[in-house]
Amino acid sequence: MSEIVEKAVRKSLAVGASEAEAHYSTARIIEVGIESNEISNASFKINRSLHIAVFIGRKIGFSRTTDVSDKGVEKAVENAYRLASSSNENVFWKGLPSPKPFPRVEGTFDEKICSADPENAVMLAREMLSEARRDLRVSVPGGTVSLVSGETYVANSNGILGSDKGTEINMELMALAKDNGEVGSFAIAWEASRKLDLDPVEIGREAAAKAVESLGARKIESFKGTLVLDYDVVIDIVSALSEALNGDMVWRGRSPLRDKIGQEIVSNTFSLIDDGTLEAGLSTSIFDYEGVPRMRTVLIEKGILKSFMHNTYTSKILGVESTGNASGFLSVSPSNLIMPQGDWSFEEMVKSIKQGLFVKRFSGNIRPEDGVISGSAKQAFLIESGEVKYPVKECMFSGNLYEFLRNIRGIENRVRKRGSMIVPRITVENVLILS
Amino acid sequence: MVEDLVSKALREALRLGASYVDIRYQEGAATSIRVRKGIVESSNISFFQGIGIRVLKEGSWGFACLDDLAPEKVTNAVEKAVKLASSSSYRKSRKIEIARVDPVKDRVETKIVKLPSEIPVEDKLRIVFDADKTIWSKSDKIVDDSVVYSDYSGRKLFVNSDGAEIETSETRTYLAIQVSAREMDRVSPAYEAIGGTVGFELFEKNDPVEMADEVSSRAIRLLNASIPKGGVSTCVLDNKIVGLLVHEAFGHTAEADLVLSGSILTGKIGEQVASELVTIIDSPEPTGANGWIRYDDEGVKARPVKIVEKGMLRSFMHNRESAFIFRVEPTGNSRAQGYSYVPLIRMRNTYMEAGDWDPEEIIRETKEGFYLKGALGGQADSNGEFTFSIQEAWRIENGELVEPFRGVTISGNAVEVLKSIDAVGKDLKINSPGNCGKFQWVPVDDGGPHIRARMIVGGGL
Repeated sequence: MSEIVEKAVRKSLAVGASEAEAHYSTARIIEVGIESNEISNASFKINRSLHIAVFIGRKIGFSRTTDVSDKGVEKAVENAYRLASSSNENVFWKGLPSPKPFPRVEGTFDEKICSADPENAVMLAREMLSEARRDLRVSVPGGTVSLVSGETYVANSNGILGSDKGTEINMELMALAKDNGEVGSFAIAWEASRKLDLDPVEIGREAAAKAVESLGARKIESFKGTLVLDYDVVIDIVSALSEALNGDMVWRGRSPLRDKIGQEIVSNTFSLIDDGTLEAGLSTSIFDYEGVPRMRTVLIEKGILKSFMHNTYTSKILGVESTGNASGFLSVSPSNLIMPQGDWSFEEMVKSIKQGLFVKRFSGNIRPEDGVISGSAKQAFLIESGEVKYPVKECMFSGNLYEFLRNIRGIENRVRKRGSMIVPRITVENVLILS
Repeated sequence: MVEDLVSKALREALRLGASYVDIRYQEGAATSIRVRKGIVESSNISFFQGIGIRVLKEGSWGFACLDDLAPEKVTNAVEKAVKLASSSSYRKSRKIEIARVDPVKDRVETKIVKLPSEIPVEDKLRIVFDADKTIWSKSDKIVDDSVVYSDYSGRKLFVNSDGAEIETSETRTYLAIQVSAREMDRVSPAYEAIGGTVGFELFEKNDPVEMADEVSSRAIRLLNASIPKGGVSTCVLDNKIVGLLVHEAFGHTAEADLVLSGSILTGKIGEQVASELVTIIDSPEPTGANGWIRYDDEGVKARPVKIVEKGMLRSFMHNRESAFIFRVEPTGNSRAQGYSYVPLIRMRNTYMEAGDWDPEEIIRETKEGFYLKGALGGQADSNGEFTFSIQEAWRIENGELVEPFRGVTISGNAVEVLKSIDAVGKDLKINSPGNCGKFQWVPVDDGGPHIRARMIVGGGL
């Protein structure tokens, strides 16, 4: 099907474009939904989408279509060309990327997902649901199982031509526990993989356990102490940080880290890597949206800022090389983000804390521009004299992302894969917890 | 002909044993133009079409969709949908049934004065450029902006096995402006969006230049604001925050599917869930509002739902499935993002009714507290707990606005906050066009008058 992208580029040049880029993706999706303790719906979807970017010098026009017939492609090219003609010059535009060899990647495709029957997904949903419901206190307001297989094609007028395919399974289950009229806090368990290897029983059990352990929450007084952040909260922190490392935010002057390459910006125990070639990584592929090879980029090494993430546009503006992080036309996103493990066991982390909070879910805002964190700790547990004591009622914690990262005290000696991220748990000192 | 394809698919599904079938065909074209600092960063025309087939068989739903309308592929999708329904019905304790609805044959068109599809791209670009230019002329403290114009025109065809046939033409136009200002290490974002089910006449009533001026002034003004200390406070909320409160924190908990899963409102019909001053409505009707619909995506005539009347919980929002369970009439709240999604219970335009306070009087009559204006976003759980980020805050002292704050969040429990309301303004506005995400995105609107209530105010340190 690479003829579709080749055709789009050829037709664009034929109508007078000086450069052109085309991106075509197809997806086959099986989705099973859970609502109110029951399987509520099951869907089978086939989606296709062709994106075309047409350039007249530095004037750019863009169009998208689901109709990839000859007529459909022609119409889309015409639309994009018309928009480019009436647009103004993007003075920052320095041209499309040129071809480079693609890497070999492993573990991104599983024939079993590709050929899965809808029944497989229904079965997985049913097992996950019934495991969570084994505890009579637990109800399941919602959940999903989705199996996705897709193909991607890219071509541009500099001669880039690539095709890639991949598969993915996502499972998510929400759970709520009720006991003696008390309702616990909302719990979510989720996993994602490129292979059909997720254990529905494990996810069901985790959701139920999280829901039940939040029962009996007590109100606490405000205090200043140490936070132990569970994997899903570390993900929120790393996501916000990754926005400040995004080449797009950097060249626009919005990232506070924009002029700090080579400087120590966070605790020297903290490193962060973007790796688009990670084996079986959820965001692993052989090329990015523009057809630039995926690669491994050290962003922060032992606290020192090494690199930002770029697409061709942002890299050319800043005079560096693309890191293969194009995620759409002109946009940049992380691929797989890896935060390496430290040397604390979870038990040691808790044991070292006199007074603190173990937070499993955060709901709020972390603003990468200035690091302001504000929001609530959900599913949090009081730590006292080195022991996790009891669940606490919702409380707020606030602070600053960059201070948090400078005040990291401990990093766990194991990591957990959460979607396209791999992170350990961490402890952060001197945080004000508001009840 | 699409109509023939659709009716053939309908017959095929019934032949395969479905007890109910609905089919939605949709085609549409959207234009969007984004300018940042004088440069057209993206201008895009997208076209899509496709068909979604939903069947009920043995008490279970099955759904399939595709954008390739070749007859044999459509037939294959019908078979998939039926098979999915059968396989998920196994060992199901509750068989799905749907409330009866008289089938409608109708053709609906939104009243549009100036069809955006007939406006030259140059005119759309001018709107965006003028706004962008205004922003950058304000101050050298502006560091980034984004001005996005977008429009959509499309056609939907709905048919079901009860005999309904509804064709709807839809047109939407929007303008969204985002500005970021910076001074030293302080940053302040500001945001504003207008639009809904209107055409290009949107810009006759709303001047994009004035809007740009207001958004950038706000971003600059906030630079010098400080961040407040946390605590429980009396707050005067503006129309937009009230809209977010009644939609995000409260409204979702009154969606019948969430009620069935166990929301804070489960089993509370007839109980006091808000102050007596409070009436909350979800209505499909306001002309031009972003959540305007005539029929929902199950072919049900949409009608206003009085969720709360004078503080009393009156009604939930329903689709045909939940209406059957609750033994009520469906309310026309079943909506899908597009043909490729199964419709879910969704809000339309959700607002609090006006009271009798002059909004300025509410502030004047407040001894101590905060005046909060505009929201930047928020999250809420089905237990009513919410956290919202606020654009602009002022400390109120003896009825006067004395000190601005930025980086403010508010949180609390929706029901507790609604119960604490002791003043409701007479200035109802429904002016927060947005997309609400609940597994899929649908256009909604929300609003209300100014109100006064108590909640937790937080901020960075």
